[in-house]
Amino acid sequence: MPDEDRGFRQAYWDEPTLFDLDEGPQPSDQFPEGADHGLPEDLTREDAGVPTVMRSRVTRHFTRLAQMTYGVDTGTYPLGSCTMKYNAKAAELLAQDEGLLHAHPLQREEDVQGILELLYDLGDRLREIAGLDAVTLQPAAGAQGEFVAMRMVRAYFEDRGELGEDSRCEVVIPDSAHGTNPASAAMAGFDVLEIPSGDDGCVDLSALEDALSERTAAFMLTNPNTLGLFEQNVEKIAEMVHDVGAKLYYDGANLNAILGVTSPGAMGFDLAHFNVHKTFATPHGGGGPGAGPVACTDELEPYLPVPRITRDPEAEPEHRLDWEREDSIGAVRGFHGNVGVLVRAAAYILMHGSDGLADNTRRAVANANYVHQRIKDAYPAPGGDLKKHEFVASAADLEETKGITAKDVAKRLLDHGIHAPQTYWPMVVDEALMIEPTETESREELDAFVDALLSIADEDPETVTSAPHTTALSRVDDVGAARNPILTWDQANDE
Amino acid sequence: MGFDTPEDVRYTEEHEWIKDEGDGEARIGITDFAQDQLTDVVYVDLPFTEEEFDQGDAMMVVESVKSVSDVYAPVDCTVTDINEELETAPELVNEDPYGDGWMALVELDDPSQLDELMDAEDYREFTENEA
Amino acid sequence: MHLPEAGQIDDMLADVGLDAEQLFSDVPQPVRRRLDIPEGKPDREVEQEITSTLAENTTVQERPGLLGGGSYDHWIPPETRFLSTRGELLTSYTPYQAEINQGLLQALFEFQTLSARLLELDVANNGLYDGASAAGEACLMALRVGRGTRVLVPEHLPDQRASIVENYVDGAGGTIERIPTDPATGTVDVDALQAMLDDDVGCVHVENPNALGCLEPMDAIGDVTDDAGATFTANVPEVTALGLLHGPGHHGADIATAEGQPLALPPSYGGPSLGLFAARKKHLRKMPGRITGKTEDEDERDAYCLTLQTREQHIRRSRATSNICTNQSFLALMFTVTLGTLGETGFRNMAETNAARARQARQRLAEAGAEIPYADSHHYNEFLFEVPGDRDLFLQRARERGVEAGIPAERVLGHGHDGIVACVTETVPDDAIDTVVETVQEVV
Repeated sequence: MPDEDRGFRQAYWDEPTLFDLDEGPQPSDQFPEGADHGLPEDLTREDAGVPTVMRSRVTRHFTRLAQMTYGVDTGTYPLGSCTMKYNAKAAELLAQDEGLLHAHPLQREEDVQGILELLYDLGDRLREIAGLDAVTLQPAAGAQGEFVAMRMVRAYFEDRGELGEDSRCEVVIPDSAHGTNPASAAMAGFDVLEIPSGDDGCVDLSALEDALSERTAAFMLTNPNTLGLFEQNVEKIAEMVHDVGAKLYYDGANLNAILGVTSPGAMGFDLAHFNVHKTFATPHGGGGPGAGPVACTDELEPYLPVPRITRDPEAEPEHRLDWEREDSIGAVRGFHGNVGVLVRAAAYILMHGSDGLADNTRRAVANANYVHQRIKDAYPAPGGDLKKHEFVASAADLEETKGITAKDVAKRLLDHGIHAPQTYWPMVVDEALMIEPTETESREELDAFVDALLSIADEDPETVTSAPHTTALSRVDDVGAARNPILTWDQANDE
Repeated sequence: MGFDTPEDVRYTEEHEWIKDEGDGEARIGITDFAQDQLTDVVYVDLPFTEEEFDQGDAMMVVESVKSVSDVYAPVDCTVTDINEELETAPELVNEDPYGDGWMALVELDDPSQLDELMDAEDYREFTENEA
Repeated sequence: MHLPEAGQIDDMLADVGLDAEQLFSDVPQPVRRRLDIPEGKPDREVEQEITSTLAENTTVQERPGLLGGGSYDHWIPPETRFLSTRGELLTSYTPYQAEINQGLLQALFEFQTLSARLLELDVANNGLYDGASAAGEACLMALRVGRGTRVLVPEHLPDQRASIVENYVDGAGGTIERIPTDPATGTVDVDALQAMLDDDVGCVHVENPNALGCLEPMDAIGDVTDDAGATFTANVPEVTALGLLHGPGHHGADIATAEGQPLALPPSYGGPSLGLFAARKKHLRKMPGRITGKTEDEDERDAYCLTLQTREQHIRRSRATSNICTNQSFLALMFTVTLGTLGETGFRNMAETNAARARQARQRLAEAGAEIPYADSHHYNEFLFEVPGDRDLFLQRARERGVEAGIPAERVLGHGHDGIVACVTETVPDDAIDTVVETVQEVV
């Protein structure tokens, strides 16, 4: 048990799956039996394979599963690059508003002026926050935002007759970038050129210089970068990228570090995406849904996805959906985006305003720097001493001296009732622990986190490498899972 | 370090080994050093028989839980057989990298290419420098 | 918000030797910008503001009607909405730390099992953004597992969804072509499809039920596609249909997707939604998205964890099977709660009720004098009808009586069609259907 035992013990239920609990088809009182659908037998199935379980047992099932899950509502969640901040509950309730839930995406514009107004206003604020000219709300998540932006860049160069096998066919990306960057660029049809980071953890200007050419369509950059370091040469970088005629793309994953300080537009970026589930505190939902709006300059605006929401106070109705845009890349998902998530983001922005958002950024950066200063002797972080909203600490010393890896530290933190940081990423740091406390942790919580990290560094290795001890399960065999993939109950019970 | 480096095989800088089996054939796998670096191998994406490779081509893929590595053709060759056991038992690469963990049997285009590769002593020196 | 006073932050930094004024000294002066959006407001004012803005919508509860076209209003069990407030699930992230997130992982494993069973395929993932983008991923994967670059989709596939597929496959050299619609049946013209098939066709993609409300000749499409050596992918835009109809896998689809929104949450103006994704086991390693696998912990207890992650962007980067990271997990959870609550019979009866009510409405509209273009085809809960005279005027008359009679077909399809797409789910009140019938009688 930890020295400073906070008494954390996660619930454990030896909970069967719904399929183990299946009692076989039973009469149901929700819908009439045997409605006359008139469909022939060759089209209809015998059964759908849905388990039948008493409703009380279903509720207990999911309540138990919830108890064996850890969220921001449970405790500190310093998972780097994910901005796991407290999710405003007012925003949560607003997303359950009947006026939203029962608005249909193909209703006439006249009947959905409320939601169109809200979305238009949100787009307007995101435009201001990005320091750019136009916004689409359609992308369902950050990665889809990247994809949209790369499709737009492609359409832009295609329009100019510059897209070819030797022209505007490459996207340049730092090796410290999120994996989504190279994956999105490749999916959009570009060749990806990754450049190594400099010794300071930032973009190596000479490597960038070498990579840029008339083959370059775009450079994708995260600022602050994934090491939590502000790319101070950003103006120079923008100039270099623009000098070869390429576009500069801002990965918004770390936007929480710069609100009210600078903006993608001010730094010279041409396109940017937002992760509203990070920056604007919409809940992560166990992996989604998020939303990944994209902002761009006027020059790229014609290529934004359709439909576009327009506003004309003189017209009736005031808000419309514009589908007729010949240069648009089209669509990447159905209808208008993850609207329920966007409503939460709109609420968050309204609650905070300019000063509130800027204040959150300052606090997020302060918290990260505080934690960094306190742990840096045990877990040094590469790059300069000044961090932004996150930093990447290394357990390499511990690994060398005591055989304790970043993974072991992560697992041992769970015993303290604290979620683990991101591990082994970015790959440019050995035994990486990527820490992002966010602004919604108190000093007491930060201290508890720091104390836990420091005590782990001093613990006997055996306790750490055998962790976790107080979670629902002991260490899970991910090697076995990968060697013999069992993805469904039927596969598991087919032996 | 203590990695196994048998004398009867040749080595590449990408940590493949290749063993002359006579009659213009050779066997290919990854070294003990490589399997240690990769940690637990969970999957090997093997080539097809009769597939042809030039020296340095990506020939196979070895995956651990959190990494993916290409295995490059040590020489110009054509695949004549693959180790199908790896499909259900990828751990053989960890357990016996030079034996049951072999990956492909190939026909050599030019057997003299083997002589240009590192011998065990060179490879030991190479890995020590790399570490 | 309830954050510590600003002064406490300064003190905290001072305690570790940092100067609060210097936190942003690394941001060059020329790029500094202040924000200029309205000042923040207390929660209660924001609640009022947004609630009153949203109240400007006329929802399908206020004016019920026959609205479908890719987004469907169904009864969501109270269990689903109630459990959707569990903070542990709602506020967690992708379960990288399996030991502390077993509950979420087990639920996702259950979701995968449901996806595979409903779609009648071997393996499934944690879900994608929505049915439409899942279909895009399916077509891209089809090009990856097989040969060819031509992607054939029906003429009646809605333009927006065709555009999504095109965006997904274009980067891999894929091109979209339209398969003619059989004007008699409102389904794929299988002879025309057969004539289009050659070695360059990588993928044949259809929706079932399709956007005209008709059930496609899935077996025939599957057969000719398979004979030609192309990959058959199919999307089910209305997942409740799978309570009654066979999944695409039964008809020979190699990869199948579905829009799961109808069982996860109300339309919410089109999102969030949920894409189900399933495939044959042999294509497992080419699948996009997060995947949960079953394994054991050190004490040999059943355990679940994310697996096959080497396919994904965070490891394979530009060679990943997809760029997807954040998905729609929470909706996958809600989907699983809904089906768990309905049970086999409840789900079956729900689907039968939809099909039967839609059938009855179709017959009544025909009797009232409406034209039913593809009357001889099979339908689930959607169909097309046409009225004599001005269509917009007819829809307006219905609206004046307090109902939506359906959606003009070109708004669903994106291209010309004179019909009205009507959808009848179990939530459409009887008297709303009566009113639509009466309005038809009035204009005939």
